[in-house]
Amino acid sequence: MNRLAPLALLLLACGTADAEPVVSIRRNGPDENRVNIAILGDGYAQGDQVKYSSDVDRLVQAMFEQAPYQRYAPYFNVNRVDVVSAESGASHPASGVRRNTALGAEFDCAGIQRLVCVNTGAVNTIVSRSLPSVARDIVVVLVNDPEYGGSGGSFTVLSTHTAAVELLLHESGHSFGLLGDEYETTPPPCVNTVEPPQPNIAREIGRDRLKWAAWVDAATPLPTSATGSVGAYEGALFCASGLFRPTQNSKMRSLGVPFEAVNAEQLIRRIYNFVSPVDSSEPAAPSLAPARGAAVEFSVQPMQPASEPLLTTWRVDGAVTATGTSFRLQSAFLAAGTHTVEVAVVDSTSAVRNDPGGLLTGRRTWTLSVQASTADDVKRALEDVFTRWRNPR
Amino acid sequence: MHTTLCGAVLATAILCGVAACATAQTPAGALTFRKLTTSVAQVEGTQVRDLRIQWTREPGPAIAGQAQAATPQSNVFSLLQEQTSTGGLRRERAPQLSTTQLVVVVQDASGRELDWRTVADPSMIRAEFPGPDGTLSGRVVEQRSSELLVSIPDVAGADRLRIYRPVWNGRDYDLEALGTVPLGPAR
Repeated sequence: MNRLAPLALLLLACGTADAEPVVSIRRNGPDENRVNIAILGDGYAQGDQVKYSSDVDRLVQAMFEQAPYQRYAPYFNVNRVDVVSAESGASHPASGVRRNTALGAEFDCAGIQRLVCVNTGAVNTIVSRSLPSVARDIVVVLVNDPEYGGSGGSFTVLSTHTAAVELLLHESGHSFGLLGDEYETTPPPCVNTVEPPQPNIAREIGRDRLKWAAWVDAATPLPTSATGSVGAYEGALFCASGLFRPTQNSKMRSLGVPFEAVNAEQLIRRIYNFVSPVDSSEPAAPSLAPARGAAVEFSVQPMQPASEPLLTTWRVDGAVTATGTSFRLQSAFLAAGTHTVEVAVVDSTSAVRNDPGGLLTGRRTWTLSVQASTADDVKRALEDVFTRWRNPR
Repeated sequence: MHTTLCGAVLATAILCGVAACATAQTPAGALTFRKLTTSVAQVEGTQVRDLRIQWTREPGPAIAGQAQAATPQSNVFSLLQEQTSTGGLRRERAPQLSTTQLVVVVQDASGRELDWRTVADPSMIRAEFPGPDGTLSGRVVEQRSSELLVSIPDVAGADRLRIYRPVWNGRDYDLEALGTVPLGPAR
């Protein structure tokens, strides 16, 4: 074999390639403060691009119709990467069907008929040259084949079968939500000798030690056998016994059912792992030195979920002073010296009962150096307050 | 705007083909995820290095009386491509880890940790499908050869990446070293 062949291939691979066109499907804010989904198509030839667009729209709409993503849809950006394949569809090696596609999607992966694998190198190449790193929190490959199939892992692969969105939601429960499987069958092997790390799987089910104890009513027995309430149901993470799940059923156990409370709570915490409740705030500078007696305008742009707006509270030196998205501080009312102004934006959703990391609260703090004010400064500040009270903007 | 740096990558790739580019699996020592995240802050930079890394797992030498699958594996990592771009890196407000991820640590020449990132483990493919009653069953297919896409800050002094696999010990994740990828100088 020609020993230079690999080098030649590598040199070819190093040739400059244009980034694929990226179309923003949902743009709700800066990538840095959103969860960013990138969708790549495979098996969509040039003539399939209109279908690709509508397939992606349908997928995204179906995803954001379900809780908890429905309320938090404004916390996501979605980009569609327009990848053009030479041929339509996907390969089915067991049936002798071969398709030349950009990402090499094929069914029958590892001998499993519905398992669809893609060329990870091709995906990484396109993703890295088309999208900034911050815009790749969730990568999805949509394969233009109506047969049910897909796979999970570093990115989710799914076919255009209408039920495949359920696969996306389940797999993103793993890759994005870090949730465990709630079904019992093996393989993979059952390991029930230590408390698992997943927030929806427990070995310890004492009321004081159960991870999701905040969701369990005092009247619910542990372990639990009656359906309908959060408890501790035996059988999870590939173990028929020794490990427990929070509900009789959930999307981490079956497709076509809700995530249920404990899994939804974790997904919301994960969303807030990437998204601060404070989308932006003013002034930009953390330290301020207003002129003697001057008023200082503060403002905050909280994140805006689809329902139940977040609560905004302003504190001056720790004392609650105002609510709302803007706050005008009369420095004339403050003693000379250093003061702090803090805004706290809180998502008080009932869907989260455990937030040990305080992820559902965002804060911004400013330090003010205030000069001693005169009686005239105080008088002007009072007039300003009354004028604004009579004529609110 | 992306800049692809093929010259350096090509050189690295050639070196990887000739010499041992990655260290063999080594014990993790006392490094845990909690210790790493509390002692090493993630760098906020304006330049990002995107690294495509090939990961090949090879069976270790046969051990008498043990199945080949039970013998230790060696992990070979090699840099396929690097590109730099302007922009920030993803910031996590409360980083969490799972066994479906890897931890990538940027070290300087003396082994001091400069930055760390988590990345999905590309070697694991989940095959999960519903049965007649809708309940799922599944398998994890582990690939011998896979590719990581790692984004790190373009931090001065970065000499190598250390790649770890998290192993849950019941309270925290022990970080088991899989291998090392040498880096070119920061640009």
